[in-house]
Amino acid sequence: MKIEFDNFRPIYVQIVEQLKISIASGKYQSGEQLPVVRNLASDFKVNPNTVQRAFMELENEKLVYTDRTNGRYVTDDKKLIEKVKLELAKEKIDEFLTHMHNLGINNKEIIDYLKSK
Amino acid sequence: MLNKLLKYDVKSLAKSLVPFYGLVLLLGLLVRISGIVQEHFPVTSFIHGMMLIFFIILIVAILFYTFFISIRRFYRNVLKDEGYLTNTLPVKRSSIILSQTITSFVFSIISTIIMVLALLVAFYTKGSLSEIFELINKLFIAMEIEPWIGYSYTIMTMITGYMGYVLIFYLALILGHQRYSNKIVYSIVYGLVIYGVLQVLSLITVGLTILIDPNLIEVMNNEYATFKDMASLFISSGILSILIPIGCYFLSCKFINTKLNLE
Amino acid sequence: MELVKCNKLYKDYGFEKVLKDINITIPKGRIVGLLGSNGSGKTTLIKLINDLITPTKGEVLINGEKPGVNSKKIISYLPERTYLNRDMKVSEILEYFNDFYSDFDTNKAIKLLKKLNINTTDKLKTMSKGTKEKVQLVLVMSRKADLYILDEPIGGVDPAARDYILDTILTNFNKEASIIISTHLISDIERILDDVIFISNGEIVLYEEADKLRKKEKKSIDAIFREMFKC
Repeated sequence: MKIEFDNFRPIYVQIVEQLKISIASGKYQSGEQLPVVRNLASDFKVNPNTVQRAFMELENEKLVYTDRTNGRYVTDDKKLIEKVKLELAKEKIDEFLTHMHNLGINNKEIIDYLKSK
Repeated sequence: MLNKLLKYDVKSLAKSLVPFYGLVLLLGLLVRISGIVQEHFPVTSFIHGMMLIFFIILIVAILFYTFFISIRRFYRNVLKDEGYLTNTLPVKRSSIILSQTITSFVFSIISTIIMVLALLVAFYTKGSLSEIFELINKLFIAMEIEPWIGYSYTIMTMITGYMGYVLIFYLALILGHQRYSNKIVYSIVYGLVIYGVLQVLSLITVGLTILIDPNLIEVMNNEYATFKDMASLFISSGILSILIPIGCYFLSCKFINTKLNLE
Repeated sequence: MELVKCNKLYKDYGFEKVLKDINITIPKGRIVGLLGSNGSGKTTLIKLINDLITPTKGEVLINGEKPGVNSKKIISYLPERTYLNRDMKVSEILEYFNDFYSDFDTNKAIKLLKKLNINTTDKLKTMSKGTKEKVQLVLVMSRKADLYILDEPIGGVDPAARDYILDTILTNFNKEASIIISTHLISDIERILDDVIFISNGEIVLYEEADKLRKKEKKSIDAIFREMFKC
């Protein structure tokens, strides 16, 4: 997995985002076990403690839970996953809209373009 | 842990010295063979002559070379880049120095044995050995020394003399190494200082010996004095020659803990 | 008990004050970056921890004890230099480490070396500098130490080697242990650091969690460092 992280934002925040995208897109299915900290840290080329912290964040948001054997699993709460998906999408769209407005393109032009696709 | 240090120190010196030993013994053999050959074919006497020259050079060189290799190993292993590994091993620093010292000693003995062996290979004829011992015994007796005392004292001072030099070099290198630049120059300087100190100690020893044995002054002025008369001086300088390597050893251990300064 | 503790630590070389009043504590289980430009005192601090030099004033304690035989048992140190005996073969150096360090995992080392196409029969004499450095890294990381100290592990290596080094560090250290990485090449390694220590002119300027620092300054550690020290 070739992910480029920025060094100017907290790494754990970026990992949380990355994992949320993976969960929302279905890469990690509901009830599926997530890779262990060590492997994820090696893939992302980051500190295992940072991955640990990201997992904790996801647990706080109830997207992920830890079972008796310390394995981490994606939540069964499909509604929550949908909610997160929508949140992520809205974030990205808002970002996109900001960029477009900076270019001087208004919403009507955007809608027309989308309709033509 | 000392055993493990010894294992690697011995291995390392062996790698450098065993080939040289082989060469010396081989040359001894060649001297003997060319000697026999030249008896039957006098025209080949120049070959025998050449072998002899090389052989003598190697025999003389063997102990110097052994000494040089010992000092070089110490310097590289403890004070240069390898020192980063050696000095961070979970062993006492004094063990490191002790291991190097013991190894130097062992190989000085081995080199001496090889030297004697090579000489025997080259020159031994029946009875020549007992002739030599008889001669030495006669010499000792003429000097009014019991042969066994003569042998023991000579061997002891040879050993303590060699080890003394080894440990003086170790100490001088350690002291010189604490500097930031010109480490070798400073080592030489420290070496000379140590030598100076030892000279002073020798004088003090003589002085103390005279205090204990006032007859010595008379004896030293008397041209008919025998070794027996000067026994006290021999004893005290014998003691000094034992104390020098021991003293340098303890000082080396002390300074390597406080003055180590790897680049 | 903290793994490393420096109390009012000073080191002078002659009249030059190389380290001044160092008071830091490094706990277990952290990857710590010791960041500073050349001559800032990084290597001196590392040498003090490794018992290669002695303090002028103050003390450094490893697990509550002064540096000595016990601390060396649990510290695995990778210096900037090549410290291996060039006359040895790989198999001999593996035996050496196994003899002196009870926590050395020979099989792990052999495996890691095989991945680098290094065989146990290879002679150190015939290896390039870069390969020798990798061998040293493998040896250091094949120990199950409590403290790993890596002095400029990625200085002067190509990007592929650098990735290999970082990967080896991440996948092979033991979680209860700490790693101190000393470097001036911050952007290459900042991602793997838990905490960062900025050292300049022999003084500790900053000791903070990496992500906290990023959140606060909204910059990369490298950028923060450059600004602070206007290289």
